[in-house]
Amino acid sequence: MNKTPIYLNVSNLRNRIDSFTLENITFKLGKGEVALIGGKNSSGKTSLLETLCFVNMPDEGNLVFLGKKVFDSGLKKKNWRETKKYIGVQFQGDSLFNNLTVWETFQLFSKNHGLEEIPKIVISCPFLQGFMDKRISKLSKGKVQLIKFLLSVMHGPKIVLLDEPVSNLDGDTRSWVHETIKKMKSNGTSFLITMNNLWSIGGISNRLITIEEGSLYRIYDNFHEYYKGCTAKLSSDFNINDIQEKDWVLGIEKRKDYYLLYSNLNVSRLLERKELPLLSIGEIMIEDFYPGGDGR
Amino acid sequence: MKESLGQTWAFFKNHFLNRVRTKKFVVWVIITPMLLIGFLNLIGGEEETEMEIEIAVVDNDQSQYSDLTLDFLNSEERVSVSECEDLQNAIDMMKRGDVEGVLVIPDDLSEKWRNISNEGNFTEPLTFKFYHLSGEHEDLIETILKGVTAEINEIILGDEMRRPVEIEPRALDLREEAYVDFLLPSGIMIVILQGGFFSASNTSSGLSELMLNKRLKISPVPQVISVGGMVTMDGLFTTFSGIIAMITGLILFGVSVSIWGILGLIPVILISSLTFSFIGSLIGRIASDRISSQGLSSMTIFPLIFFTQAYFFHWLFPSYVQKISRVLPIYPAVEMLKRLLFYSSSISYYGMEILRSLIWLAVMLAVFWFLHRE
Repeated sequence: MNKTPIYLNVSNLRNRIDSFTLENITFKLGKGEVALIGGKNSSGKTSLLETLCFVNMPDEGNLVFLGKKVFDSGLKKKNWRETKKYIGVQFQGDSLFNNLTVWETFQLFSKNHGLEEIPKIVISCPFLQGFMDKRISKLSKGKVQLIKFLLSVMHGPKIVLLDEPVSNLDGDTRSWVHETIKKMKSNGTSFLITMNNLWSIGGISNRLITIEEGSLYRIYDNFHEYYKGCTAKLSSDFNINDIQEKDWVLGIEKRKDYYLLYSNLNVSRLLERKELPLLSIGEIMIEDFYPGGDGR
Repeated sequence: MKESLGQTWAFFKNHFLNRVRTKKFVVWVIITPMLLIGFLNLIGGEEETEMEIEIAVVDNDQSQYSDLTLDFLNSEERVSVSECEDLQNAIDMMKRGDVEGVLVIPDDLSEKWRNISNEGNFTEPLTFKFYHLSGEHEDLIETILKGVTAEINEIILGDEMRRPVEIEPRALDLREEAYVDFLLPSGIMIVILQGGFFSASNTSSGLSELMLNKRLKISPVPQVISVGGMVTMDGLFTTFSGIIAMITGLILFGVSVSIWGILGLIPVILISSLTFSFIGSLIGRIASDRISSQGLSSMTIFPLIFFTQAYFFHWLFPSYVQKISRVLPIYPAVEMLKRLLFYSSSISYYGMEILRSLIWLAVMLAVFWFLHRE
């Protein structure tokens, strides 16, 4: 049996950052796997990503990247300098050197990664044609976002951590980014992506890791199943045992005063199920996957 | 009208709250003025300024009178005396910074004392030559010598009621340059000090403010190299500014410097620029943004500027402040610049200053490495 290698193994990670605490974070990320990190604003998505790459030093837990232990409470940071060569990170809200041109920026970071030339993925990006001699300060937010994405993947990393990678991108650029992620995924690169909008990342992910107030809330495997379907609120007096075993039910969660049903049926198909005491129904949203986040 | 006033008030109030609610407010508005005034009090508030200087004495008379003079000088708490047989050696000691002045006991001292004793000739002054670099100790030496000669007068003539012998200390600058010329080394140092501090602190705090430090943290290149490279570049820019200041100063002040002097100046400016840039980068690292770092830099630069001697001589400070000033990185650099600019001294004359400057640079590099190590 062919077992997928584990590229990232996080267990019991804890990190206190000012008054916020990230804790009980345990998950694995296999080779060629794309996992989304979802959660409300200020739930700790960015903190998690920054802790994983030691921008914020963790307090406790174990971190294994590419089979190498890079952190545990006793060892502290180890093997990180060698390991980070294989990691790409796109931060949210950071800037680049404003007075450098796009070309100079790629040149600088290519040299940082020991590359002689600017990689092909950058040269061939259709959305940067004609912008290479422009200064970063003269570019739109979308272009800077694209450059930051390319900086995180251009050196062919094995694991890429992306924080809201497509938030400022237009439709065409977003599709190109999706395609690039898919291509890299098929070549074995793993991605961990934080996001607020489920649709913005398309159907490229098979796992969703949700975080609630700094703690791991739930991990949804085979997330693409959810992606096809919809969610519905059901009256709390409904006997869920009647439908729990149905093949169109992916899951049912008890929320404060209703049940939330995850279905792999689309909205119109689910509406045909007359036996359901529907309070509301809608296309699946990231907000549906963590408590208190549903906006419908 | 009422609406505009209301809007203005809203901005006014919000800005007030915005300022007051930060920790920086306490630092800038309350602590900084207290520190600055406290510092001024420190340097000028002592009731009696105790000056202590080290001088070399060349005894050209070699008589009981010169021995008496030396004895009295040795008993004087404000001076520390090193006897020296040769004037050139004594001047070399001064150029090296071992002493701050050279007092020459004239070869006609005993003859003049005898004239005073035998003939009652009180009008002819006793003339001591006092060599110094900047004229800063002239008054002190004159006061001390007056006291010394008065005591000798009392011993020789045995009559303390007699008028003390008048003396005429002749202060001779080595180059007889005006005081203003000594502003040039200090001016160059202020350019380096400000350039290094502000540019490097701005770079380091800018990395935090723009969150570029995150990108550098995850880069395979260690931060000691990436950030260190940037700070070194700031140091080189500062060196360039220092050289511009030097060239401008040489032209405007009309100072002629030998080629060796100029070649010696560049490493001095380079070492100082790098040292101040690395200090500046540490300040920038402490500050969360560029505005704070500029404030912190100003707070640090302000007292250091006093020690450049651009505004005050060291001897105006209390003795313990003088001692502090000598261990600061600014002092050896200004001393080196002085000697190079005005005396074209060879490297052997300022080896100790170079060593002190290099020690400062090494300390700063070590702290920088420690804070940026992985």
